[in-house]
Amino acid sequence: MADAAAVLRWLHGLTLLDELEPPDREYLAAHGRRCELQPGQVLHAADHEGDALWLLIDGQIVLGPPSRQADGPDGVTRRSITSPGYPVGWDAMVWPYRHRWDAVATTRTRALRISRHAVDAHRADDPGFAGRLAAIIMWLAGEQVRRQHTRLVTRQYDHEIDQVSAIIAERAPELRVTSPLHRIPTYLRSRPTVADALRALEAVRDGADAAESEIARSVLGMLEGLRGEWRVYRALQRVYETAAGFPDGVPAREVRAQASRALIELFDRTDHRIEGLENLPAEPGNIVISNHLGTHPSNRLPNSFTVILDTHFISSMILYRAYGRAPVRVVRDSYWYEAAHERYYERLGYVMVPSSEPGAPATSSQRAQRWEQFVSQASTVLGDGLDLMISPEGRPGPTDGSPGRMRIGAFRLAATLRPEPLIVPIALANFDLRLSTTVLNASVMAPFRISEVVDDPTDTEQLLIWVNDVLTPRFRQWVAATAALG
Amino acid sequence: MAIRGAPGLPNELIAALSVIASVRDVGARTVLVRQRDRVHELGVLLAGRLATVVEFGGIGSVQVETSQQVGRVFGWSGIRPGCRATETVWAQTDCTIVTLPIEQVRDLLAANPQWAAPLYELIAGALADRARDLQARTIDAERELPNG
Repeated sequence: MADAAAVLRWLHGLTLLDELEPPDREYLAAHGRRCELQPGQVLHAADHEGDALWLLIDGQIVLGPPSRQADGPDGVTRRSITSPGYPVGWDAMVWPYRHRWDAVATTRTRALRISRHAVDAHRADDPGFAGRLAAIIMWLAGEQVRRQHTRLVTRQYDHEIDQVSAIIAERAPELRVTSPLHRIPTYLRSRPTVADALRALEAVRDGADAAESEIARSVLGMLEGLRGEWRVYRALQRVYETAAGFPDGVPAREVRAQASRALIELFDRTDHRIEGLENLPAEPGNIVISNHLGTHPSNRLPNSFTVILDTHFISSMILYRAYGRAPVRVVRDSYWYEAAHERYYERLGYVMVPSSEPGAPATSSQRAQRWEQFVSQASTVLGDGLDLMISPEGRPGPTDGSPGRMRIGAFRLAATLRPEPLIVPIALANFDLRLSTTVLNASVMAPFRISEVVDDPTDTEQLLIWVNDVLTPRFRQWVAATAALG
Repeated sequence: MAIRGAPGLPNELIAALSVIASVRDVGARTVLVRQRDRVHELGVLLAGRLATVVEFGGIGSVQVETSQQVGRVFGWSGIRPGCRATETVWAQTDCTIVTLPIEQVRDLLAANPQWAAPLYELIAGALADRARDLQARTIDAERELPNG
């Protein structure tokens, strides 16, 4: 913004100051001085006399009480100003002409500074300008009160979608009946239409209606976490289509590899932490067990399929990254109505085990046949130098109290196979929580052989006692420690 | 008029407002301004306690403030033509208030545009003080919330 003419053009485009008339803008352009502010720079302090108005050009300024910490954050949430043209310092343009709060730049910020002296001189010369400026300040002050009301109420609500819905509903009388803002709460409540909500908000933010623009800007600021979750959701959709969309004839190994790469792209967008990678065996071809966690319902795809994040995290971020080979998972058969589930897992070449569908229970002969088939498939996988991932719980659950009851099948398998494989335990935490509010944690624990921990691993009773009385409590401690990684 | 900053109003404006002002007593539980309604009066509290309630869609009505401050202004959003009340204000106790018919206030300002700035600034100052005090209250309340 090199000269007064450029400043004037910029002022004309500001919806926040649309009450001003052209001569007002000409005056401000002629008396304004462009300033560049560094992060942490204080524009004004609470209780100090006001000496200027600062029209924000770009960057971010926060308004709030003086910091309670000499250095570093004090944990207090302050009001962020990012709207171009916002007149920071207005609070000292009214009696008693002292600032009510601090104003601090939090990023590199540019502003147009107009001295208090220049503003007062024009207010004295032109009562019309004085009235128009005072009307803008009165609106800003009322809006500040409304924001505080909203904050008082919505701090009770964890979910930003409820907060946004409450804010838009409360401001509904100020909106045009045709305003896209009325649609936002509905768009936000379905994950596939979050992108439509964000696009609509961005369009309103950049539009001509000052009040709606301010609301949209405020709402977009609240939805940053949701935006991050939506990016992960898009990546989940790509993972599903990557795996399920492969044509027949492409080897399952290649499908798993490509899916792993898509999953790594997905998880790279999340906050996550992995400990204990040094415990991984030098070579794959082991049985990998983990506790099993549910996935937040917001990650369900439109075809009702949910990409379970915890086991996909292990297969991609730990095993594929370590060995360059995607593992094979043991997964339950699809129920008859789970077309999306079947379509996804069919292409991955996983070991499918019967699900507990209602109907006549399997005979002992059928169970024996299924077991032999399972052992054969598992042996092939391990013999090919691939890891075999098993969740002994069978069913997913929450992090708290995980794992639930663990079945002995994985350990019977280990006891049956020759050569006896290593068992690598991985503890998982927080995969059942909202991605925008958590860190996904995983801990690789020291591997062992079943014969090292159970005297006779072919004895079902001994296995049961060891799983229930030794492994499960120990695994719960691992999960609790993993959850606490931060 | 016992409002912070009121001594800064031009004497002529104070005189003109005094002519149209009425002092009256209202009983407890009287609704003075209702959210989303057209505003008929600009009001100032002289004695008693007012409560401010805001209705949030999907949450319901929430009492966000109470005030016994002499000079507390309500109905200010009606000063601008076409604007409706943004909150509900009711008398939590028996109150004494000063009221000014909003149409007559607007007529005064239209006839005397030099009075708009001092009156708007007076109201803005009072609102800024409320916002600061509300923020302090919110911060204190947030500090009391348990972790997790």
